Amino acid sequence: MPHWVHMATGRGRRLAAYAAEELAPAERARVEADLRACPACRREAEAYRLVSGTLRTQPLVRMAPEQAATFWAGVERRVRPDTTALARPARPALRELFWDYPRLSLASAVAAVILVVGLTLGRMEVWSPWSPTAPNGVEVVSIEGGEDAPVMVFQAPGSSLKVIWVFEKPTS
Amino acid sequence: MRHRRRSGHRMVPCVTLVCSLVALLGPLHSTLDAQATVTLRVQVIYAANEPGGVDTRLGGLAAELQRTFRYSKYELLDSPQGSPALNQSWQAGLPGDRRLEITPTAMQGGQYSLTVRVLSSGGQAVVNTRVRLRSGATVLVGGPSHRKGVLIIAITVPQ
Repeated sequence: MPHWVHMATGRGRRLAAYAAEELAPAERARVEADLRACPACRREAEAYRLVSGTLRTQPLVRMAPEQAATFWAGVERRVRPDTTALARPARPALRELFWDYPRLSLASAVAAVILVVGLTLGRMEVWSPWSPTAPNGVEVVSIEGGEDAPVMVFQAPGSSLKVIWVFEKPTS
Repeated sequence: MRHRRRSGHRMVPCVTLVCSLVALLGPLHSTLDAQATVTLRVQVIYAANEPGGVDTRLGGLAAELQRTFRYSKYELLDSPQGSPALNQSWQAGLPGDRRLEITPTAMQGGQYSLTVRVLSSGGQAVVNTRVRLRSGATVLVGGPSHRKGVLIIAITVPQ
């Protein structure tokens, strides 16, 4: 199975969990089976394992009181809002948005479906008010006469016919 | 419990993919619908106060015409039929070098939305109307002068 399929089905997080040894045995066995068939996944799992191992093996750093005093002053100075680093807003990549926030992408897809269905039904005039109760089955929605040709709509008493009448000048 | 939640979490991108495909394929429905045709039956009638009586070819429409108007003569001049597709115009010739143009714009549950125009010999619209018609119902467009009387155009979507 291609690597991107693994990613599309949410297995990137599973790889990270596998590398951090957080998976249950059964799940771990499934991941290992996947890794055997996917070299790119193996490389990615190895990278996760490297990062995870590095973080776990780094010794704790202890600072002297005078170092701690200057350290926090430096941190505060660098996080001031007028620094150039903060001038640029942090924007997640599209891939991160999709893979890391699947609920957000699901909500977007549902919104897109609702929009498309709404537009389609609107185009079919499903939303517009049909008049099934019109006794003769005819409803004149709009009417416009030509120049010097006024029009009217009427229905004679006792008749089921709706008439659109044009008052056209008689031709001689 | 923890594993069940993760399994459900993996399903979310799949559902997203399916929803996206539905969104992409949504407009296909309207495209298919656009291929549907609407059968139209038109009767072009000459009505005047002159001898001649009622044309028997008008059938049941004759009685309705006599209930609606006070002319003494009703003559069926032409009865063109057509089956235009949705949003496609269909035209029929009328006396006096006029033309009748009908464009079905929607159909739903046996009801049809039609744009009807009567065009003069110069191409100007004498009347431009939008009607909704139930299957089997008839709407009349009348008034254009012809000879010593008027034209009455009966438009029906047959059942």
